[in-house]
Amino acid sequence: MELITGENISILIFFAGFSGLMLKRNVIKSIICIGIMQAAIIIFFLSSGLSPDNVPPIDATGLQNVADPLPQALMITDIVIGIGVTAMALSLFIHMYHQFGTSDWEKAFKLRKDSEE
Amino acid sequence: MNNILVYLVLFPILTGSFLGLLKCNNTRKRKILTIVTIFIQSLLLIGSLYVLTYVKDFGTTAQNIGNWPDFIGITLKADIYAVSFVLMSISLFTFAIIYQLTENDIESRVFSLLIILEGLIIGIFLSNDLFNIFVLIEVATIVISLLIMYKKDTISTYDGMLYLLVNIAAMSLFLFGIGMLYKMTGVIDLTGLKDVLSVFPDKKALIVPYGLMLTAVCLKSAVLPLFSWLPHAHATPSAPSAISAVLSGIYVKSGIYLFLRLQNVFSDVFDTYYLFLILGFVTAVAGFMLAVSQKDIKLILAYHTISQIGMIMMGLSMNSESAYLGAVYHIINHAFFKSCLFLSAGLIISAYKSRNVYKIKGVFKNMPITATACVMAILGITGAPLFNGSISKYWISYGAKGGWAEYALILINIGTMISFIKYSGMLTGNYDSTLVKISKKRSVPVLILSVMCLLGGILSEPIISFLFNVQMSPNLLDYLEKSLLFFVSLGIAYLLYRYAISKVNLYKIASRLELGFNGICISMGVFFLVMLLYIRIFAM
Amino acid sequence: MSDKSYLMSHFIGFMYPIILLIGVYIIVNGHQSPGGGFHGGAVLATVFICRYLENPNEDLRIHSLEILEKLLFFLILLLPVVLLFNNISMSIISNKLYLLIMNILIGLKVCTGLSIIFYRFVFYEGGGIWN
Repeated sequence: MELITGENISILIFFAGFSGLMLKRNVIKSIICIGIMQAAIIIFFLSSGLSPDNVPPIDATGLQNVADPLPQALMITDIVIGIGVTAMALSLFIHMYHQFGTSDWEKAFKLRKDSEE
Repeated sequence: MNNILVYLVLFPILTGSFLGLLKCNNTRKRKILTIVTIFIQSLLLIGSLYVLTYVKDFGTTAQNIGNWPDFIGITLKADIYAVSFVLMSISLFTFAIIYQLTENDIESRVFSLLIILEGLIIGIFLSNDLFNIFVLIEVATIVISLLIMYKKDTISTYDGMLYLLVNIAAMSLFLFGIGMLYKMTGVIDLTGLKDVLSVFPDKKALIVPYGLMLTAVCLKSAVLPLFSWLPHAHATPSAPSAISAVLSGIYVKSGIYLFLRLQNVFSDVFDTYYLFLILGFVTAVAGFMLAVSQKDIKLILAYHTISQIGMIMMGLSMNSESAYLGAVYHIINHAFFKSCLFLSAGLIISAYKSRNVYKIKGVFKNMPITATACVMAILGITGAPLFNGSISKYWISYGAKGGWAEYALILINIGTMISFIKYSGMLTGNYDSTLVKISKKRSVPVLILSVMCLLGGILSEPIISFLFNVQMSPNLLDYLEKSLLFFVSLGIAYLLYRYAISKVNLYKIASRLELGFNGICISMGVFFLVMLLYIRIFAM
Repeated sequence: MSDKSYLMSHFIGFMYPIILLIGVYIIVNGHQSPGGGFHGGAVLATVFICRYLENPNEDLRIHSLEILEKLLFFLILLLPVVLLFNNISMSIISNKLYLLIMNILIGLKVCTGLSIIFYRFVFYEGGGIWN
């Protein structure tokens, strides 16, 4: 049984990104961890049922071993969603940095509580 | 008939993005904006009423986009619950947009974003395909984060950033679960999944995808350890009040709708009803206890939403037909009275220029129409007889007969009353300083919403049979007994509030329990692990 | 960075027609080889980015790019609605031609969108997102 398959690697990368979300206090590192999680999901979808002798599903006829086109189409959508979300989060971060002067979650939380009273 | 479901989703998105090009500098453009938005809303209302009558006569209808065969392409399915939720969201958006149109300084960008959000929410309710739901929720997260951060001051920047990152992280978990399910079964369509999973041989392999997807859905619908993002996103100081009403009334219900669908798909495989009964109860208790200890009127309302969601989740997990229908009717009722309360709170804040519940007094004398609407909504939410809250709570406790759940519901009711006694402390008394004048026509949508709360209670049988095609008539003796229980609990709640709770400074304790971003992610991980352990040990 | 770098300007002057050609090739051959509208659009956006790297001053009219992007968005939404959802028979427009037009529209939209994001970051660092 092979250990280094697409799915095992993607599960490791996904949970590495998720633990980065839990442990890191910098906002930019959280945004990077979300990008890591999305890359892991893309690898997982694409490696479901793929074997080395698959043919691309374009202009393929007959009894060939064709790769599954559905996850590929879904992942194009997901890559674009990832780009849009990262762009939005980064521009919000520029705003947050100019308002709070810090890029740390805990310090921003304290500043927010102080400015409420 | 076949194309109308797609147009219900596409039409608001197209016209909303076209509306963003208008600039409202003078009153003539403002009139054009009013006419265009009212036209869009009325077309949508007519369309959804047509679909509702069609579904009631002919049963569930579905539309496969692109005319692919079933279970292969994207499907939009309209069954009886989905269409009533679509109708509810269109009517609430109408009221929120009318409220926003009467403000002093308006920009056409807010309206274009609101109408695009309406199209996305209709798409979430109607779609039958897991990846379609994922894409629509991601776009809705971006749109809502823009609306929260609209005025770009300090507090709303933090709230918008937290909302965006937490929801994107949760949706990544959801997508990973979809990927695992697709690898095992090969279908993404919800009806196809239900058929495949009922004959699936290896049930142990389904634990991890189920846990991942349910963690994400529980974060969207704000159950116990995962609700810290909700109050600050819903009650942020400088967002327009219409967006608070829409978020708390409709968008959080889409999380519960997803929960309903997922439990329906996995109902043959796992039996997790008891877990969600307990989770719902704990969420409801935590919700009202945190609501009582707040100083800001919008935060009281936002924490109270969490409490009502806990109660709805209890109703959905009770394994009884009448409790299920009661919980679904409570979703619709809660949307109406919570939006009424949020919109009237917006009016009070713009008149008094303060958000502190101890400082605002004398609303009855200064703004009588708003205060009347507020009182009627409060009577509805606590379950006074003849209002719509009492009907839905009656059906939920009817399904919980004989068990600890009945007493739990009475406890939650007392807690609701305590938090609203604190809220209504600002209706009486005198106010010294001057107020900003609010024109009378701004209170009209709030008044109409509160009158609909009263009508929803008196005319509950025709409304339920119109929306859900079932006849449910409450037993009169039971109903009178519940009304008596209402007055008794009102007395107990008043005594508790007056002599016990208002003496204790709960605000310090509550503000120490707030979680930051890392805390929310840690609680997501812990929730996922606990759910895996529970399903492996108890529910297989 | 107010003085031009000699190395950068000559190299970019040499490279940018090649980048343009590769981008257009990826878009136009989207129905037969890997690629398509999204990836080709991202490659085309590097042309705008190269222009800024070579000559960093603010002489681009973002407003025209925004109007072009909104126009492309409407075209992308209208084309499937008119052709696919109404069951107009596909004999009017064959599959390959439809895919070609959609790929070109998506590629142009992604190119303009990404360049607008890049120029907003660079021109208005931290200022109004809604300006």
